[in-house]
Amino acid sequence: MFRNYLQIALRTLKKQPGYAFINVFGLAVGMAAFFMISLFLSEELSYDRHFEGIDNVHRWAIEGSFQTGPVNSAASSSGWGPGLTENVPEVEAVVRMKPPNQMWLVSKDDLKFLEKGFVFVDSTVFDVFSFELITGTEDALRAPFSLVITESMAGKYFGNQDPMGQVLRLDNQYDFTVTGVIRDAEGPSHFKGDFLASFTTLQTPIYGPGFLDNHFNFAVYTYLRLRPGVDPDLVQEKADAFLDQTIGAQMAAAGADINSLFQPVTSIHLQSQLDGEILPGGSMTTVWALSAIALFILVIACINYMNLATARSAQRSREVGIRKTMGAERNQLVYQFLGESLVLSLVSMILAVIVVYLFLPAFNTAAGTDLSLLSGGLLSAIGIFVGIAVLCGVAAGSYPALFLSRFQPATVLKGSPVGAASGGALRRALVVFQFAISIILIVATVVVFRQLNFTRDLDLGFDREQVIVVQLTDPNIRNEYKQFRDRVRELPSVASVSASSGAPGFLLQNIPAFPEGGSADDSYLVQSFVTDFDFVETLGIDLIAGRDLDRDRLADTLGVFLINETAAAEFGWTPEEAVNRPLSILPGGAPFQGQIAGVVKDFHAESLHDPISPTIISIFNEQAYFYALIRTRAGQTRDAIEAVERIWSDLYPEYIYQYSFLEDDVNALYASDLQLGRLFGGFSFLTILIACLGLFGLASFTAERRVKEIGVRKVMGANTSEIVLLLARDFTKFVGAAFLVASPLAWIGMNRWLDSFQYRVDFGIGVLIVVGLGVLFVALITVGYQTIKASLANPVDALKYE
Amino acid sequence: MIQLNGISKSYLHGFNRTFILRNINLRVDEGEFVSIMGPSGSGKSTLLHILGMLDEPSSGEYLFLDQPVHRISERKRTDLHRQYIGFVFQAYHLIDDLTVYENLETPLLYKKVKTAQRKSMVAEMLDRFNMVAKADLFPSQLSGGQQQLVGVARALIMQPKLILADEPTGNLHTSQGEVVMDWFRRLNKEDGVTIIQVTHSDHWASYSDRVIEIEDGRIEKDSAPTASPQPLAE
Repeated sequence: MFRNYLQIALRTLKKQPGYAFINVFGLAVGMAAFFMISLFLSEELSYDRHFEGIDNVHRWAIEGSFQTGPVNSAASSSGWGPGLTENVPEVEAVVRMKPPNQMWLVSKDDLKFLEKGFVFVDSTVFDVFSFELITGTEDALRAPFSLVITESMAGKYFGNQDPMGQVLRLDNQYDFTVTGVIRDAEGPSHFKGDFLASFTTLQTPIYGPGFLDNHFNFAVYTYLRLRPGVDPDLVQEKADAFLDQTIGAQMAAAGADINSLFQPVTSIHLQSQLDGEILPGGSMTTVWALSAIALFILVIACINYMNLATARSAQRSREVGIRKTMGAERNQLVYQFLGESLVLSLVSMILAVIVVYLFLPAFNTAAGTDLSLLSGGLLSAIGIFVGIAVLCGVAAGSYPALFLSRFQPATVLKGSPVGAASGGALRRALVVFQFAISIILIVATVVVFRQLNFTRDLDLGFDREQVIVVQLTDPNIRNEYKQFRDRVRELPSVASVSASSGAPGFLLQNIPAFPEGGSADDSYLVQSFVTDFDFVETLGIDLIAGRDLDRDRLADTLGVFLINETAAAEFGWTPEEAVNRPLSILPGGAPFQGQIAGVVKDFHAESLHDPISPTIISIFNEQAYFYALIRTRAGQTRDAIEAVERIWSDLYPEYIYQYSFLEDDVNALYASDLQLGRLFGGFSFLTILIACLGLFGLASFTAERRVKEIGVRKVMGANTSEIVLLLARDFTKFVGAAFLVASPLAWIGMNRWLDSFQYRVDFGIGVLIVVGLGVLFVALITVGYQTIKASLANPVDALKYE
Repeated sequence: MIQLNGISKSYLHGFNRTFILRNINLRVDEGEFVSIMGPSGSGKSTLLHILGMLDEPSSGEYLFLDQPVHRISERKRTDLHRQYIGFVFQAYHLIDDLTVYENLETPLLYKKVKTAQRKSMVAEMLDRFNMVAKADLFPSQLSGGQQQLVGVARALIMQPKLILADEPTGNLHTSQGEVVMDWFRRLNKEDGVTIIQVTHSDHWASYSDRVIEIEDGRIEKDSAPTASPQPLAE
């Protein structure tokens, strides 16, 4: 019986290669897209889940405000964690983590690498995160300067040697002894933990004295493992009470009000968007959008199958009639047709594996991921593929199966045209649905790219081109900064040099500021750039009032500020009024008073998702300069990079020369938007391709079915163009209806997305109309061939037939 | 074998009821060879479909081997039909995508006959109709007469007690038609299979023992064939 069905299925495919191609190819592409997206999603959703019992682990972040600005920070202070656990029995274990500000230089003899994954952690880290120790004990991180490394780091630095007891040097000065080796993480995590160094090391003032129990440094990340069954809200309240008690008074004095925010660790990667996240997170928007796309592509491919199968029902109805007269029961026919669609979807599945194999690299490029066919494991890959194949086979086959098996033999064998006309309404609805989805996806793609172009072309208030950013990662490097700067400035390829505590695209710092006569009650949270001279010139920021900071004025080295327009406006001054006004800032513990020298035009140091913050620019000593900014002369960037490298290796032979282009750093702010745009673009192209394939198939059946009508019309005197119009009208109606369904959805959805930007493009009705016309055009081209062929046919042949 | 009591078939056309069959009373005994004749649209095909349980009457009683077909479940009806009835059509109605062999095999599949037995039954039938060499051909590769022979063989393979034939020779040349009709007569006389055929032609009706004429959905005449029977070709 099964062999019989299989044979019919395969022969049907062979006899109608066009039909088979449309279905198999469409389904294969749909399945491949679905598989790639599910690989991506399962990776995004798996962050931190490989740690055992991670559901009970929360990160202690803070939310609240200074007097005018909100504060939402992932970081907490180093004194809090140990303080809280003493009093709160619900907390089973606590660990503090201090990741590097930028990167640490790790070396063993001549092997030197800049490492992002070098973190200081309490010895309790093993109680909170289930790192698996291969060698060493859970006490491995008690003593200062002890270090636990992953297997792959052991391989990287020590090759085949036993790493235990060996020494790794940090930053050319601190020697750590390896006391343990852990297995590489089984999954991705919101932090990078390649090297776990003992937290007690920090009693040595690497990050300044008194770091270990400082209550105000907001420099570490604190993780709490709660006892099973404990309500996190309850502990959060206790944490708030603890903060009130320990730092409440000082905070209030500084006009600040902060509260604890407990975040489940598993939610951090996708949902947490606080200041000072350790690594850039993923985006829930992308996760949702891609889930929807994956589903839609598959549904659209299945719809193709359903539509074509029911459209072909006129041909299949006779077979149904014969089989019924030969004793087939209805359910046997249902199985037969389901079997056919399963065969088809299994064939598609095999093709889909090949498609994934070929296109995964492109997907990885677009999504910025590193997925492979088997990155979810062989079993899950097989499971997903077979699962989709069976699901598609059944889903796509069930309607045609029920529809076809319903035919009554007495009717169909008489030759009346059953089926051709029936089922048409559903078919039309499904086609409209396909096109509606296509229109939505295309509109989304267009809008995302328009916004990205807008971002790229917008005047950011500074000139991002031709600026090299060199990272000054170490105090020793910064000590020599002036020498470095003076030598770089001499280079013929360099136009200007400056340095700064922060740069656009990098972590920025906020501090409280008090304008003229201000008190603690009148503080503003401002973004602070601590810079060298020539900052404004190097970045190409416009000065609109007052003067730039001047290296020839001795007073300018301390206590003279530039502010931006927004700051002036917030302080209640016009730019001109602001000049020469006194202003106090609170950079560390003590307030510091100075005077405003000039006002610069607003510039976007952060992503356009964020509004421009009030900003102050001031000079301080070289230890504050984390980035050297070098503006090169046009066309000489290459020369400049090489020349700077020569100076670097001369001055800092111990350290690695690391530079980036400011333009890239700024664009990196939109990495997740760009990822979304690329994925939308690729998949909406696939969606419309599959939808058009289906339409092509449907058009050929429609034309076939209407051959007689066309013949009659031609005999009555209709010419070819009138016939083409007649046939095209139907499909135009489909696209029109799809447009009406899709427009409001696309409009609402994309406006919501655009609203996440403070600076956004206008999304006019024009985009909708252009996309609608574009889709109509593509649809008409698709059906055009069939239509013209049908209308050119000789009417005599058509009428002879039947 | 067959007993129809007051069978009618009608459709509602707007507010008018159109009758295709009106109050048909008919008895066919086992071993009879019956022709149903009548002009186009007289309802003869509908009557045949009702007899074959492919269509249901609007009213009346249908007893098949003493079972009340009008009252039993669809599944039981399918069983009866599988077990006792074979069909032959004017348009042959072979499955285009299956070979001759597979076409013959299909009814056995639905009857859930075991593989070994199925093979021998198909082989026997191919042998009987001299089609062994054509077993792997598709219907489109055969002439009309050959296709109809496959159709007859397919009807016979279930070893039915009743063969219903809807103008079996309608699409065939006379010589091809005669081969088919010879087969019918042989089956009727030698194997005792009951045959009911619909036909337009007195010539083909002359092969049967009894002719029922239908007009406007009513039985007008029930008699022996008018033309003289053809000699049985040996």
